[in-house]
Amino acid sequence: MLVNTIILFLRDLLPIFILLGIIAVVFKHLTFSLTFVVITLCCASAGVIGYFHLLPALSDAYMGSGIELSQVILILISMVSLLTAYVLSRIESHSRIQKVFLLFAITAFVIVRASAFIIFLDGYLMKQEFTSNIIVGIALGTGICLSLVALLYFLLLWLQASKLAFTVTLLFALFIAGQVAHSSIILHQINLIDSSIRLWDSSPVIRDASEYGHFFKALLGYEARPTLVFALSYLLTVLLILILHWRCRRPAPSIPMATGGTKNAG
Amino acid sequence: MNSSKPGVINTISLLLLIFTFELFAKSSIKEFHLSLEQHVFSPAELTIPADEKVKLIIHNLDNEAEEFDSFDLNREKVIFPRKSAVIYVGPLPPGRYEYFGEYNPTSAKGVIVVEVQNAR
Repeated sequence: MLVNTIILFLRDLLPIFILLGIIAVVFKHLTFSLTFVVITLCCASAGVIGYFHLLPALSDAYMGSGIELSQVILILISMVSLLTAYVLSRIESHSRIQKVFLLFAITAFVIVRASAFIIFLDGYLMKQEFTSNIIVGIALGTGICLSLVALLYFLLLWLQASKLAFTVTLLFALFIAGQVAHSSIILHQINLIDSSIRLWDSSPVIRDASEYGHFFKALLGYEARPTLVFALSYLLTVLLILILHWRCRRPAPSIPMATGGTKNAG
Repeated sequence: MNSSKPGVINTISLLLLIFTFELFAKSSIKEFHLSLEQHVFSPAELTIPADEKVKLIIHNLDNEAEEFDSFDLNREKVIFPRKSAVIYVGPLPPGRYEYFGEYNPTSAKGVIVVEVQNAR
């Protein structure tokens, strides 16, 4: 039970920690006040509780596809909001609007990820069995997630300050692409899209079920046996983000020249 | 403006044709059933045809939720107490594909065997 709790904690909640770590680095120009943190926490908690109570009804909706459809919608809302906040940070400095989009991104993402873990917790807390194992499992899972994200955070900060600053943007793009591409698997599961062509099998190197598999799935959307649709959606999302990164740049400030004219800095 | 009308009608007709074809295609998908009782899946081994998409209906007869999970099939789905869940699997090459209940992995486990059927 203890091991199972840790595995489920990492599978469901590690992506949330990674998202928060990436946001802390990519949007480090924003000052996140205590009010913003409290509002985000309240929205996410209310969202998780509401979604958790809706899930049994959703499981019957749309010929049994309600949960998957709602998950895909929430993931897309989250990733589009995150990308919008990023684009806004590149072109303008409306910090309040950026924060609103980040609030949407975090809330929608937490709703999808945390609700799966709450279902597991609910089953065991109702029976009042293995409670101590679950508490220890959650404590260990939180410790592992915090350690991993602290390492990731300082690595990204170091990369951002070095000549490899672009790798932070690349990781940001890969994280979003991983989440978007995994939506294609969810849609395939409910027969909304057909994606049976498997491109390769990297299970002998990193299995999906392994610790590395879980970590890279949370960080980069790793898939040992990706389908054509998965790979295409992954690649297209990365391309879209990189194009937006290069196209959307804050206009260089103009420096007044001695003659009275102006010229662009840099 | 009027010249664009036939184009719009043709597009809608094409979409309807595709939609109808999709509906027809989905109606021919074979159904297979699994049930979960006392945290045990039955049948423990379910045989499905190779190279064919199938509809898997999982009935949870327990009073607790369970999550059907399979790394081999790349599927995961929560099944609420006393409810059924539907997932589509395949087309798959012949082989053995393991699955388990994420919340009770020691007892709730099984295999989906994919076989070439009606081979001559």
